[in-house]
Amino acid sequence: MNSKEFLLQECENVRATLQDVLRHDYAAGSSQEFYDEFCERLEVLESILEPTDPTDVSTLGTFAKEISLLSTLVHRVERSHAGEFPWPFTEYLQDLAEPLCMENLAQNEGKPIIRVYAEGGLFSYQINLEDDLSVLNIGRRIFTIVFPHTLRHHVLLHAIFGHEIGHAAWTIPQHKSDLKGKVLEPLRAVGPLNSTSQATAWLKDTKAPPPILELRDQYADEYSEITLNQLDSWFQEFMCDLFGLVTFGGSFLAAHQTLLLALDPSGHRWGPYHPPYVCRKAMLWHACKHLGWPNFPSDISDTKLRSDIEAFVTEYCGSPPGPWEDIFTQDQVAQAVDALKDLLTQVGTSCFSMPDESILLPLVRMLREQIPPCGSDLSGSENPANRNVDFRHILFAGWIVADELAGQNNDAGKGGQFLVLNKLCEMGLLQQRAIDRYKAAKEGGTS
Amino acid sequence: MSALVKASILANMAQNKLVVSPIICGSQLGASSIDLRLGNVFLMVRARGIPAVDPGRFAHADDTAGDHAFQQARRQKHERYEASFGHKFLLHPGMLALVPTLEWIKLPANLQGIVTARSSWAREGLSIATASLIHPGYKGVITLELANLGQIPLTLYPGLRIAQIAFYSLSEDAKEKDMGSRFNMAFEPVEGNVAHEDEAFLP
Amino acid sequence: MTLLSMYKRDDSRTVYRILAEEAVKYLDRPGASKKRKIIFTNLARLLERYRYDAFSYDDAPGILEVFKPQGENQPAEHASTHHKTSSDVILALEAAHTQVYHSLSKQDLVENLKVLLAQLAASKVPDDQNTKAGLAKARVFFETLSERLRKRSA
Repeated sequence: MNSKEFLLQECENVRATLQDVLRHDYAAGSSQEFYDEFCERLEVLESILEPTDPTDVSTLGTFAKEISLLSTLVHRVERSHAGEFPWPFTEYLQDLAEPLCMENLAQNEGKPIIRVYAEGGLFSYQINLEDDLSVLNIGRRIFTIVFPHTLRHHVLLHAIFGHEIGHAAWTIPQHKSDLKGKVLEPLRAVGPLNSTSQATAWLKDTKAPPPILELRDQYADEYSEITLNQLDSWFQEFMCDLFGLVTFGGSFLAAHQTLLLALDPSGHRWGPYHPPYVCRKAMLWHACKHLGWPNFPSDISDTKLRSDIEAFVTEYCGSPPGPWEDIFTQDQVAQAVDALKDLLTQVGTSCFSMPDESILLPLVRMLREQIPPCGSDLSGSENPANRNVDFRHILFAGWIVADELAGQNNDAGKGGQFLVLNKLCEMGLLQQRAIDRYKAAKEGGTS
Repeated sequence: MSALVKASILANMAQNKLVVSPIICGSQLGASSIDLRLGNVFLMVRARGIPAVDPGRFAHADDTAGDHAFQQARRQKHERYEASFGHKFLLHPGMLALVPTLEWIKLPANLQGIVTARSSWAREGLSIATASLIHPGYKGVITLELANLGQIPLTLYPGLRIAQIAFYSLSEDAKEKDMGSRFNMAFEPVEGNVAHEDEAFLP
Repeated sequence: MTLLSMYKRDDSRTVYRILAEEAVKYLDRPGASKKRKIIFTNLARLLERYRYDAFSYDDAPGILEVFKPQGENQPAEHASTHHKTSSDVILALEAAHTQVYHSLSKQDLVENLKVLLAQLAASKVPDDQNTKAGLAKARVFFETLSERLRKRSA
C-alpha cells in the first residue's frame, strides 16, 4: 500500500468515525450543520486526493495533515454530551460571540458552526475558531468551545470565556486589523513594553517587586531577553482581558482573579505567552475607573446591597497599582476600551452594562433566599410579570453574594457553598432561558 | 389540614413564605393548584444495569465508598439524558423516568405539597408513579417519577406542563429538626435508598 | 515530541498552490458542487487576509493553559512556535497582484475577485462580456499565483 492509498483508506476511517458521532445526543442546534460540513470536507479531500500523483510528496504530506486535523475534530466532538457542560450558559455565550465571529463571506459560509465539549480541568478553558492558514479544506469554520469537565456547574467561573472571545475575534481579518490599529496601538505606543529592549530592561529593573527578583534569580539564563513574539503574545493577552471586561463585566473580573491567582498565587509569574498577573490587574483597574465602576455603589439605595457591591469593587476592581506593574497610563487604557466597545457595538455583540438596582436587588435577594436567580415574578401576582434578564447580570449577582454566603457557618463548608451558589446560578440561567423563550413566542404570536 | 385555594396560594407567595419559581404564565395557576413544567434531565434505568432492586445492595451504602464494584453498579444503574428546550424525549410503554420540574419550590414550615399528574397527560397514559408528598421546609426542584402506562410512546419536551402541585396547611409548624439540612437542596433527580434505616430487616 | 508531531509544519504554500490550481480548473466548468464551493470560499478567505494584512496566525493557548508546567518558564524563544506567518504566500499574492491587476488597489482587487468567487461558489455566474473578461483575468491571476507558489514548493 503506498502513501496515497493509505490516505484514501484513512478518509474512509474518518467517515466511519463521523457516523459513530450520530449515536450521541448533543446540545440543541447545529448537529446537522456539523455533520453536513464534515461530509463535505471529506468528499472534497477525496476528490482532490484521488487524481494526485503518488509521487507528489508535498501534496500528499499536506493531505496527511488535513485528514489528521479532521479526525481530531470529529473525535473531540464525539466525546461531547449535553450534561457535561452547562448548555444554557453555552447558548448565551453563543448568542454573544457569534456576531463577532462571522466571516466576511458570501451566503451562509461566513457563519461558524458551534460545537461544545468538556474535558479535563482548569487548563481546558478554550475557544477555538479554525485559523490555521495551512488548512486546505474548510467550508464553514468550526467554532469550538471547551469547558473544563471538573467545573461543569461553575457558571460563575465561566465568565472567563469573555477573554477567550477575544482570541476568536482575532482570527477574523477585518477585526484583527481594527484591533491592531485601534486597541493594541494605544497600548503599545508608550510604556515599558514599547519595545523588546525596553521590556527586557523593565524585567531586569532592580526596583521590580521582590517576587520578580526571586523568579529572575531562579531562571536567570532562560529569561535574559524578551522577544518580539513574546511581546505580541503578551499584548494579545492584555487585549483579551479587555474583551472579558467589556463583554462580561464584573463577573469576568472576579473569575479572572480567582482562576489566575489559583494557578499563580504570587501573581508575578510570567512566561512566553502571558505577562505577570499584577500587570493585567493594573490595566483592568484603569479600565474599571474609565467605565466608572468604582462609583457604581453610590447609585444603590439599598444599604446592604451597596455595602456588598463596595466590597466587590474593593476586592476585584483593585486599587492603585505599584509603579513597576503600572505599565499603561489611564489614557492608553481608556482609548483601548472605547475602541473595543465601538467595535463590539458595530458587529452586534452587546457590551456589559451595570444593572439597575431594580434588576440587581431581586437577583441578590433570590440568592440569599437560596432561590435560583432569574427574572421570575415572585410577587404572588395572578398574572406573573416575568422579565428578560441579561445572563451576565445573573452571574454578577452570584459574585456579589459569593463571599457573604461562603462566610456563613453551614454544613456545606466554604468550597461546597461555592458549588451550591454556582448550581443556583446555573439553574437560574436555565429558568431564564425558559422565560425568554416563552416571552419571545408570545411576542411572535406563536403561543 | 386544608387545601389552599388560589388566593391563599398567592398570598403565601406575596409574603415570601411559599416559592414556586418561575411561573411562566398565569394559566398555570388553577383554582387550588399550580401546574408544573417538565425539566431537562431524564434519568432512566438501564436494562443491563443491575439484576434486581435489592435493598440489601443499599444497606451500609456509606461503608462502600471505596468499593469500586458497588460504586460502578450504582452509577451505571441509570442512563442520564439532558435535553435542551425544543429537543424531545420518548417515554416508551412500561418505561419509568425520573425527571425534575423546571420550577424551584420552597415550602414554609406550615405547608406541605402533593404532586399529581395533569389529567390531560394522564389520559394519554402518563402517570406520575406515586402521589409525591413534598414535606414542609422542602427546597429544590421536585423529582417526578414518570411512567407510561399506555400502548404507544409519549413524546415529551422540556417545558411542557406535565404535573400539578396542591398545597395543604398543617395543624402546626413542622419542627426544624424534622425538616432536614438547609443545604439539602435538590437540583436534579437522584436515585433513592430503599434500605435507609431498615437494615435491621435485611440479611 | 511525539513521533507524528514533527509533521505539524506550516503547509500554507502547498495548500494555496493546490487551491489556486483547482480554481483554474473550475473557472470554465459550470455546475454546482461542494468542491467548487469550498475551493472558492477558501480563496475568498485568503483574499480577506491579503486585504487586511492578516497573515500571521496564532495558536494561542487557553487563558489558563499557559500555566501548565511545560508551558510556563520556558526560554523566551519558544514563544515563536505558536506564531506562524506565510511570507511565501504573501509574496506570491503580491506578485500576481502586480502582474495581473497592477492598476487596482488591494482593496479593489479583493472586492472584485470576491464578487466573482461568490458567483462561482454559488454557480450563478452572469453570462455577459464583462464577467467573461473578469473570469479570464482571474484565471491568469490564479495561474500566476500557483506558479509562484510551485516554484518555491519542495
